[in-house]
Amino acid sequence: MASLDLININKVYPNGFHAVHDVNVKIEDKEFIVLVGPSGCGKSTVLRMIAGLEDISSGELYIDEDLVNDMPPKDRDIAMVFQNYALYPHMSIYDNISFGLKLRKMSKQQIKEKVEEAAKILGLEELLDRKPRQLSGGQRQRVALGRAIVRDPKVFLMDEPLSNLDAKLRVQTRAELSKLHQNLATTFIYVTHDQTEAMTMGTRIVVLKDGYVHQVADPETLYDKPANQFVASFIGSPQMNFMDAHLEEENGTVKVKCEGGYAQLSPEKNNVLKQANYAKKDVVFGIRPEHIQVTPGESSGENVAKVEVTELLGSETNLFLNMGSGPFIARVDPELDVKVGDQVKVHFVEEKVHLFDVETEEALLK
Amino acid sequence: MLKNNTSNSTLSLLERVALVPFRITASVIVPVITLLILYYGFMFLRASDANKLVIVVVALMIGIGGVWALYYSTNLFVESLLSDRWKMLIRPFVFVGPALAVLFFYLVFPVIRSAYLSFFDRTSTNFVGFDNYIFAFTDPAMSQAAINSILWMIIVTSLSVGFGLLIAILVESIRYEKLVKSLIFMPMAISFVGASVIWRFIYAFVPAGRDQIGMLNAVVVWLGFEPVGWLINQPWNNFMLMVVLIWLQTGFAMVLLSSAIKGVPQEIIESAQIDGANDVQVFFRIIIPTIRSTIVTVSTTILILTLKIFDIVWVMTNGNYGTEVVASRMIKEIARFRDFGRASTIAVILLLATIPIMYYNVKRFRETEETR
Repeated sequence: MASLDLININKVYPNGFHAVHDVNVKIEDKEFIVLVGPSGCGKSTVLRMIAGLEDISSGELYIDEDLVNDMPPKDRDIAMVFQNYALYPHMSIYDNISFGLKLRKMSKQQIKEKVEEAAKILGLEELLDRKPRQLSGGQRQRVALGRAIVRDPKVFLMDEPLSNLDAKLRVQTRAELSKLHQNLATTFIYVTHDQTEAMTMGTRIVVLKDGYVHQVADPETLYDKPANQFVASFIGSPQMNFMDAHLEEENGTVKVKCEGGYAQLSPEKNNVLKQANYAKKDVVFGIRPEHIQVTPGESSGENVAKVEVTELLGSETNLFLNMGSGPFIARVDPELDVKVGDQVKVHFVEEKVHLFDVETEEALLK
Repeated sequence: MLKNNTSNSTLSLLERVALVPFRITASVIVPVITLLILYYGFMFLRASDANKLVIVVVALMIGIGGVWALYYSTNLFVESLLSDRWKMLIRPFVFVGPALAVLFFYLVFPVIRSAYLSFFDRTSTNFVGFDNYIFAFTDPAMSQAAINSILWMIIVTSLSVGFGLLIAILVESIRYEKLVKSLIFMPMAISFVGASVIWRFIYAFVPAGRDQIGMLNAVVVWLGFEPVGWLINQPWNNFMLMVVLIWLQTGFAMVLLSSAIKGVPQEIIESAQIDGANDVQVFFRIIIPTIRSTIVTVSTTILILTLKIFDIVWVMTNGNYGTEVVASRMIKEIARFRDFGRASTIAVILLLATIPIMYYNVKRFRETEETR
């Protein structure tokens, strides 16, 4: 149970590579923070700096009120789950889980109780005498969790713990981790490159790219109000559609004109744009596939698109549409009667239109 | 083989049957001719007084070509056998046979012969029962040698492995790691006799008052002490000899242990650090258990080497001043006393002493193979 404060954290490697730039995040007690971003974005480096496995080049890291920049990992009272689980191959599962407790000179009776309790939570009771190599990936993963749980650490760190599990087990473990977080009421810091994991588990998400923090927000905000084009494209699947567009003012309302069609804006967004004096500018127009309404049967006029590909996913269908400037995806009801080659009428939901600056890629409608 | 089969299929049955006697004759004659050529070639070269270099080159050619010719002709012989069953049975031996024969004549046969000779007297003519063994286990000089050998095994092995491990962990990821390792490994390239000569100079002793030519005594005298007879003072001279082997073997241990340490997954070490282990605990509880099989292999290799060591003793003290070891005693029996019985006995004892170590080594090896 602890809060963390990352202030202007930087990581520069001896070879000059600047992996992490000025990370500023304040993590409250009992939060489930997810660091997410494409590979090489520096998320693991941030986690390893919090763990103490990597030196902090500049900046300050506080756990609770203590500055821990120069504190070795063993004194930080943290637990970490590694991607490859990092179990000790020469020790039994019992010894693996109790290793940290033994080092802390806890009594044998206490250790036994702790290990058995953790084993019960994780369903490892039958496996305590085995060696790691006799376990399946999912079981090893739970042992790694058990090793962290028994320590009652201030902070749980997890470095892509699900990436070595198969898809089904991953979904299941995701839910278990969320439950575990609720039961333990401890601060979790979780690293992943998978935006689904981030969105489903995190109470707050830190989106990183190329060593820079792009946005820190809860999942809803991240989804509804991405700070820039990168966050907008990274969060959500299938990803947000982007089209080059031009803003035009007609009768006091701003229209987003793109090739073959247009989108209208809600009144409040309208006002924001007007105040920011953005009318008549080139912008990037972003719209999520689920915010495009499709009506079949129209064949001429504006906002008419051709259906190029249909992907039936069961509960929904993805339509690859084209209005002339390249394909974009709309997510529609599978009952909708459209076939490849059909012409359809497209409507972009006013409240859900995103606009980004062409140069800075920053969101215009914050 | 394949070629024969395909060509066979194009012949009629009659033709094939008619060819059989011809093929069998050919396949017997070819190996015989090959053998004869090799034999007379060898005899001719031995008798020849041509330029030595020419003889060497010709001998190399005949040797390498001869091996090929022998394999080829014996294979031909097997191929001409009538039934496939016999071919399957005999063919492996065509290829493994020569190696087995060499192994037998150079390894198995001498062992049997030594064991046999150990029950005979010095000239190998009269059977003496267990007399030689009684001598080996009761003679005071032999006891001294045995005690020394055991000391060598314990001290050299533990210190070589200990120092090797220490250096391996200390130079791990320092800036001049490769250079340091190369320097420490370098003595490995020196022969035991060469190293002994070097160290005899280091230990050289000249009575007080004259210039010291030995490095150690030069330092001792310079510091204002009396020169020390490093190789004469008992029992410390034994340790002075062991230092030579430790110097030679530490590099070997270091290189193997160092690569084993590098093979320990970084994540396990980091995991232990986060679990609360300090560097010492990481070393003893994580690294050592993980590289245990390498430590065992290195230890047993050095252990067996110390059992066989005689050259260092031979060159530096010749086994005098209470520095005899079992192997040098064996050489002494055969080279100086011409006592084949006793020498064979000691050889057999040395062999028996290595068996438990080898057994343990093989067992460990199998275990680690299984856990892979």
